[in-house]
Amino acid sequence: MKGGAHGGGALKSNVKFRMPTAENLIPIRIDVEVEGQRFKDAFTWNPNEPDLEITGFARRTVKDLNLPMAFIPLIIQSIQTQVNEFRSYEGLEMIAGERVHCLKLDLRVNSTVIRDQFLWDLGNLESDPEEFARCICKDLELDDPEVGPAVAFAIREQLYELAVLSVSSGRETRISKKSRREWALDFSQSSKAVSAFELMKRSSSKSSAVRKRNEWDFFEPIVEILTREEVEALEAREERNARIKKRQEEKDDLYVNRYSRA
Amino acid sequence: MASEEGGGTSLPAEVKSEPVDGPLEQAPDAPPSVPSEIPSLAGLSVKISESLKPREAFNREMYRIPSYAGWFSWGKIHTIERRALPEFFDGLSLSKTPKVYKEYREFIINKYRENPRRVLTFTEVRKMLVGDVNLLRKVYNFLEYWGLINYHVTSENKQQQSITSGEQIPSNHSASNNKPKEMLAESIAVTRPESNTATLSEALPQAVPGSALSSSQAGQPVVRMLDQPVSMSHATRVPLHKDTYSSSVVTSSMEGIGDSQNMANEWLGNWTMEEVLRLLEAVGKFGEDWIRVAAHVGTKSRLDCVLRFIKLPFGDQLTSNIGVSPYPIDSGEAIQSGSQVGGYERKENDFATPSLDRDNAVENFGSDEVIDEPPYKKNRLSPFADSSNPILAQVAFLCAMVGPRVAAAAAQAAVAALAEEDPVVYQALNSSTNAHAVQGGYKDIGALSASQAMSVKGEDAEGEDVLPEKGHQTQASKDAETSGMQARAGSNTAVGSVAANSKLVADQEEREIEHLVASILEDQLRKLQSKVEHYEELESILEKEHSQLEKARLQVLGDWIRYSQYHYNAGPS
Repeated sequence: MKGGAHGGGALKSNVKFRMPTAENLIPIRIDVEVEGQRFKDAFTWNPNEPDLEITGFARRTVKDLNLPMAFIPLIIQSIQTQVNEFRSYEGLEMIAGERVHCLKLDLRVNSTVIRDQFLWDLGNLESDPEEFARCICKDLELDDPEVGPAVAFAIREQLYELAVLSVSSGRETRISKKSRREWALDFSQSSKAVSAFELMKRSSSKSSAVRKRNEWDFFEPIVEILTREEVEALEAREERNARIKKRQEEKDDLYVNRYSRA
Repeated sequence: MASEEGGGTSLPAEVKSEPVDGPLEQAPDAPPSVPSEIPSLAGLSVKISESLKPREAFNREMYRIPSYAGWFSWGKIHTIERRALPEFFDGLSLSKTPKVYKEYREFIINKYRENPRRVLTFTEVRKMLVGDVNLLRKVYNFLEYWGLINYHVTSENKQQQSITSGEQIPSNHSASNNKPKEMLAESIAVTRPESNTATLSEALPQAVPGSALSSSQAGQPVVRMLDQPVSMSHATRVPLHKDTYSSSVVTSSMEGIGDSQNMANEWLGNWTMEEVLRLLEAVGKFGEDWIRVAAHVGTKSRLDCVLRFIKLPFGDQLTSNIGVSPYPIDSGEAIQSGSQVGGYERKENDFATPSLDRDNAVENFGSDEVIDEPPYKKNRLSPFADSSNPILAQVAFLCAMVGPRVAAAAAQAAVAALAEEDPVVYQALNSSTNAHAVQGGYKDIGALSASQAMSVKGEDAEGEDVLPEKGHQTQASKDAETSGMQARAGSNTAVGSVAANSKLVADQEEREIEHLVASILEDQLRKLQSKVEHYEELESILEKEHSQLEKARLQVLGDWIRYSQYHYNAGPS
């Protein structure tokens, strides 16, 4: 019995690629710009829906938000691309078994800023980001109803990226630079799925299930409620940063394309 | 068997070594020391209680767990736990072992017992434990479900007390708290409190405000909590020699129904009645244009309006039906009588935005509707479906098919047409005075028609003028009466119109029958006539033959005479 259950290795049966959550919903991020107007959105989508639904959804969104019609094709395209990307992984196999990652939250929703980290088992196919988000909002008494979905989305996004990573070990994939930067995925640490054993070891020498006290603060959510001025200031700064980044990215791409023919 | 596997270390020692520092409000010699004495600490405290003096009991801080969690014991893992959390026991993973499970469990319970009066949130716990948060969540949920943590006995007792002594419970508690209901649903063994209610009652009023807060908003941080820790000890101290585990879990779900009074005062947060009223009017007028709705409400932002609206029990149905009725709907009656008549309020709500300008309406509405959570809405699609009258059943079915908007529009049109045809009907539906007159003839039928709201509006104005000062009860009853009248009038009209139609059809059928019979007769007559003609022909032929025969006979006779004459002439010589 000693080595039998090491990291769940004995019973590794592979699983078809899917979101490692109870509901197979993929995170979709939209960021399109038309004539100076920028539309950003993030939501979860069911990849089993027929693609016709995407058009309907785009139309309805544009109508509800009173956006110019030119957004519709861009939105459709964006959603479709991401769904297709997901579908392209679907035939592949994922490693099953327990893989615990440290997920991080660092997001701002209207005037609520949340920073948090916690352990999440990618092998637990019954995990529920929405439930977790609901729990956070309830426990921290955040009354902005947009926070829950944003947290759930952030979790899903990270899960998605990690799932892709686990699949693409045999396949060359490019995680988009944008997401890499935004999430600052610490590849040195998190690209290796942490097995349970190592997890235990890392947390405490006694291999206790209880975390060391000095680590408690790290794994606790930190919530800040900003005042309106702070929000506005932050938004302005974010926009500036985004613009700078975009320019930087373009320059980078240019550089990469020009000088790396090899 | 039930103890740890793969561990090897003796468990109790390890558990007790858990350092419990941090703010302890009471029981300085907290969990570590106590469990070693008693196998199941909190649950079955009967034995210990008698041996301890009250002071010690106070220090020991009795931890209450419900009687249905009596199986729990520190040193062992029970089958219930094995079954509920199989991941720890299937040996597939190094990080999910029974030992780990015990550690989680004991840590969480101890953490909770550091301060039993506050709700231990999952977020607090998960920062302190290593492991997949989903799994931790399962353990946490399990413990909470079984009342091993976050079991607030005082809140349950309080419920019972307040019902008997008429105390007011903040409405938030009943409307938004799901936990007592959960417990009710799943509690297995429920024991009746034979406790000294007299002494409890003095303790509980103090505990009420505090614990009410705690259970109404689960997740309240530790800080903002009970300011009467003393009363808690009273409560724990007193019923030491009795089995006091409350059965009042049952009662806690009943209070929601009984306290509609308070629901009227504050409703889901800080929305006052006037604001809700304005919201509903605005939605009826502007539909889903939330900017205008928020402007109309005035004190609430757009977001708040939307949130509040969707929290209304009928919100779902309304959003698809805005704009059906062009009248400024003033149909508090409709809702009220709907909820009183029972069973059909959904159909009514389909198109009428209630303006809840009477407290009673809100109360009835509140008590009936708020308890009915959204899932129930879906079940009440065809309100008339079980009516014995097959025609109405058909109507109901059709209405359900076309959707509430069309059905409402059709019903309105139908009633309008009827009203035009029959002035009596019109009167009956539109004036309150006539309603009284009509009253005598109507029996209680108990079905509403959609015309209700339209006709009621006229009646409303009257109702308001007539009884501005009277208590809600009388006003409500009058309104109920007249609206009941309206109901009966309306329903009778419906039935009457159906009857008229059927009579017409019957008449038509009769006429057709007569027509058919006439044609049959005609055919028969014709047949006879042709037969008669035939016979007449025959007769004439026979007559002719007869005459011919006569002639022949006469001829023969003539011939004979001539022959005999000839013979005579030639004979005698």
